[in-house]
Amino acid sequence: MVLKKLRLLSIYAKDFLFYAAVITLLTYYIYFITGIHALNIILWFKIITTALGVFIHQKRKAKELYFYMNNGLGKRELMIVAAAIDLLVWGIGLIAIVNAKP
Amino acid sequence: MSESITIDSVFLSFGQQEILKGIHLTSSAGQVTGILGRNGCGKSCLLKIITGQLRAQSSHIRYRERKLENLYKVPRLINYAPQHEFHPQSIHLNQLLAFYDIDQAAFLAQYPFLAEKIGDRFYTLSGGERRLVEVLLVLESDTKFSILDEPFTHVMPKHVELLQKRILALKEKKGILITDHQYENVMEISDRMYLIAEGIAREVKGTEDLRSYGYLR
Repeated sequence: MVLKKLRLLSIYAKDFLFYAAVITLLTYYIYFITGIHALNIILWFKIITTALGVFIHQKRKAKELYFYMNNGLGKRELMIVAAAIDLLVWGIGLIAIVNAKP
Repeated sequence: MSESITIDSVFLSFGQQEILKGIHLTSSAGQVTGILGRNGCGKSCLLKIITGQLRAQSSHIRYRERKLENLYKVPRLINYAPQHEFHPQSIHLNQLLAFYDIDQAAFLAQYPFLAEKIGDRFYTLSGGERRLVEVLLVLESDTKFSILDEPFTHVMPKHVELLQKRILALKEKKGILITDHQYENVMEISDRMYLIAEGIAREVKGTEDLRSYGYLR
């Protein structure tokens, strides 16, 4: 059951996670160039682009929603998990980079 | 306890336009419930309200006398085939069967003409085949109720007949709520039928009733 849900999530979130990964790499690059004093801007940039990504992705996938609902996954569940994975990976990566290059 | 879904007091309006004005209907396990109505009468809106995807100004939806906001919250209670395509295009047909927990061998025994397409991606099927497969996936999967919005549309007559036969066979296991403009196909298989007109649902028995309520000439 959990495996099935993960597979469904990966199908749903594939495009979003690719977009999110590009944004994540961009924020890391900005950090490398500007350093610690741009952290606040990087944080807001990531939050706003994630919110925008969630909005666009939900619109794009609206027609497929019943496929996921028929298989036990709701709209909120899908998007919250996808965004949480993105933000978690981004946060861990950023902490590692800040520790490596304060 | 009765295995039925009861929809009561559904009021829906968009701005000044009143679409549904107190709909009441029941779908029971072991029965096919047909819903007919002209374009724009609110059939699809009603199905979206039942599946929790559209919030009405008022609606009371009950299953086993228990009021529910969203029937999807009860595991394996309902599934739904909307009138538009709703499966990711790149998924293979055999993967779809696995997601719906449908046994592939049993499925192909029932629908042998799909055997050569079983490894194909969904988008490679023709429009009619895609529609047929979507309806079959919903019908064949293990839920107590299946809701089908225009299942016969874009499907060739031979497959419409097949769908009708399967609906009649599968109603032994589940309740089926169905709406389609091909009213004769719906009437042939329905145990109970409703006509939505002027915002309310009236139970109808046959074509005479449909004429008297202005659905047919």
